[in-house]
Amino acid sequence: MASIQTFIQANSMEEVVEILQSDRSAAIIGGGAYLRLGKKRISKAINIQKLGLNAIEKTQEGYRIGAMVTYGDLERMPGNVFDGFRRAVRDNVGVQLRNMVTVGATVFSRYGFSDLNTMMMALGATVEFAQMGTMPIEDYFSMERPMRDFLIAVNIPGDVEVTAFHALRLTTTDYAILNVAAVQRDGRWRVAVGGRPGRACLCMEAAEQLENGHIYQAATALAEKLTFGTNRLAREDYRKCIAPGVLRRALEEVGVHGG
Amino acid sequence: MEVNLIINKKPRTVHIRPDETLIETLRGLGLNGVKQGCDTGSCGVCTVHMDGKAILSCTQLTAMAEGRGITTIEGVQQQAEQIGQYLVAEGVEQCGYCSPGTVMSILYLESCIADPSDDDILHYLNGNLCRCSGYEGQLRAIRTYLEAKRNESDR
Repeated sequence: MASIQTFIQANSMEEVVEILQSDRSAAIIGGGAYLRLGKKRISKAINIQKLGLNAIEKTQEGYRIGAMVTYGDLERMPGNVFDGFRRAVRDNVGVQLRNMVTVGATVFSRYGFSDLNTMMMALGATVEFAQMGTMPIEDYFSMERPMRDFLIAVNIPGDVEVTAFHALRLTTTDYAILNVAAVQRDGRWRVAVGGRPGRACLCMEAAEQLENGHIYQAATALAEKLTFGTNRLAREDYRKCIAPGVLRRALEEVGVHGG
Repeated sequence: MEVNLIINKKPRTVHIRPDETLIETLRGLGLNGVKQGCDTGSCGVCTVHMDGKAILSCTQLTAMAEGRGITTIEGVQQQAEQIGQYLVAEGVEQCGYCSPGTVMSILYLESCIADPSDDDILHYLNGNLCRCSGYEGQLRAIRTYLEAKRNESDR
C-alpha cells in the first residue's frame, strides 16, 4: 500500500500546479485504486474533487470529459460514442471499481494495460493539461518525459459511425493480453492497439486498409507494423499472432464484415 | 486528520491516517459486516455504497469520502435478511464470506435497473467473487428475489 504523509484538499487548479511543481513526491489522487497495489511514498496527496472536474459536457466538437469522471459515469452516458467506452470497460473488474477509477488517472498514467486508453486513442481524444495545454492523446503517449503537470480533461469528438473494441483476456476481469479499438468517423478509420504490453498506439496502415474495405489486410497490418513485447501474461510472438484476430473480432461484433 | 462521514445515516467524525482506507475505518468502528478479502480491489467482498453507488471500501481512501453517505450491510439489515433467505434457499451460502458484498451489489443492481435481465445481473455481480458456490445458485436466487419484489410492487 502506498503511504501518504499529508492529505490536501485543493481549492484551485493553480494550487494543484504549485504543489506539484514544488514537491516531487506530491501526487494527485484520482480514484485511488492503484494505491493498494504499490509502495509509493506520497508526501502530499492532492484531492481535486472540489474542482468541478467530474462532469461530462457536450461541446461543439463532441464531449469534454473531466479528469474525475469515473468509468461508471462513462458507462451510464447514452449515445453511440459512449458505446465504445461501454465495450472497452465492461470487463474491468466490476461495477464497484468502475465507480471509483477515474478517466484522468488512467489517461495521465498512460497505463499500457488500459482498455480505456486504447479506446480513447481510437476515438481521437485530445488531452488538456494545466501547463502543457491541449494535444492529441497519441502525442502525449509518445512523450519521453512529460513535465509534471495536471490533467484537467479529455476531449473526444462527437458523432461516430462505428466504435469497435475487443480484448483477449485469460479470465473475464483480468488485464487484457491485447486490446484493439477501431473507430469510424466521417468515413475515416482510426485503429489503436494496447496491452502490447506497451501503451496504446495507432496503426495507420490498418486504418488505411479499412478505409479501402480490406479487413484482412488491415488485420495483418497490426502484426506487421506494430511492436509487441513479453510479460507475465503473454509472449511477444503470441501477441503478434493474435493481433489480427482481435481486430477482426472487434469489427465482427459491430457488424463490420468483409474480406 | 479528521474526516466527517455519514455512516448508515448517522453523522460520524473519525480520526484517521491520511492513507487510511475506508474498510479500515469502518471495521475500526465495529462495522465488521464489511469483510476484508483480497485488499486489492479485485474480489468485491468489501463492497459498500457511497452516495448510493457501490464501491470497494478496501480501495477507497477515507479522506476522499469526506462528507459522503456510506451504507454498509449493517445499514440495510432488513433487505439483507430478505435477500439472504433467497440465497439460502438456493444453497448458495457456504462459508458466507462473500455474502455481505454480494448483497450490497444486489441492492445496487436493484437501485439502478428496474427489471434486470440475466445479462444485467451478471454485469452487476461480476465484481463479486465467490470461492464456494460456482455462481449458478446465486443467479437463481437473485432472479427469484427480483421476481418476488416485482410481484410485491405489482400488488
